[in-house]
Amino acid sequence: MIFYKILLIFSIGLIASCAAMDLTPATEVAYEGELIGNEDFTYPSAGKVLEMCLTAKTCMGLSQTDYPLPKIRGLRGGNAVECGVNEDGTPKLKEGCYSADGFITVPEGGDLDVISHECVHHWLMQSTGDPDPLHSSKFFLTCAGGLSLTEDAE
Amino acid sequence: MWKELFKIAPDLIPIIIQTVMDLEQVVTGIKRGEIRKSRVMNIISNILDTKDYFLNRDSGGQLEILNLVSMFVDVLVSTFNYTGLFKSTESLDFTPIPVNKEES
Repeated sequence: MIFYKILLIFSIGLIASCAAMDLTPATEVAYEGELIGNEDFTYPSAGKVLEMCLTAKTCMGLSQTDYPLPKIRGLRGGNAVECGVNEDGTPKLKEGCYSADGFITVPEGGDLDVISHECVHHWLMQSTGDPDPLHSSKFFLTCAGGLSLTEDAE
Repeated sequence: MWKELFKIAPDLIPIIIQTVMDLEQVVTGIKRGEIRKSRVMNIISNILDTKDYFLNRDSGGQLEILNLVSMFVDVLVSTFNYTGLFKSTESLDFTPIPVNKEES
């Protein structure tokens, strides 16, 4: 019986995840700087953002490695950010993006889970030199979401 | 091996899903979970022992089944994440908060 309940939850989740959402570009910089806050200012989500990024690092088996944290740019005025351009020249709108200069760019009001995804790009960049823009790494599935796998002993 | 695995799958799959969910309490309260795979594997291994699946198996046979279970846990977590089933409901807030500096 529980199996069918779980199957039902899966189906609902799958349908919900496929629902289309209109993306509008955010352009006004609300915050830019260190992930944990600058010398003079921090932001309410800083603690959670740091926690999620470090969880992704642990999940990828890099917890013992001293790589620098990414920086973050929070934009206001829309629910997406511009990440390059499409083939037809229009801006490519996404819920977040990572650039090789170490910046994660996300819209204010966006989902916190986007941070895990962008941090996986960052930790891949740090550990392999390739941020894997095509998402071929398994870490995007196992470490960049609501659940993360870790092999750590208790 | 696959034939045997398919035979026990109806029992095994709900056990694995239930273990992952119970252990990380991802159902009640829908909160984020960090899956300690070793804990999941230990529990599942104990359940399989109790259910006598391993009674007539050598250690190689047990290992083979546990490897498949391990792969299933990976797929399960990937599916959870892909579907956004346990997505955080919190949103990003960049409202600037001045840092209080102690006066020297």
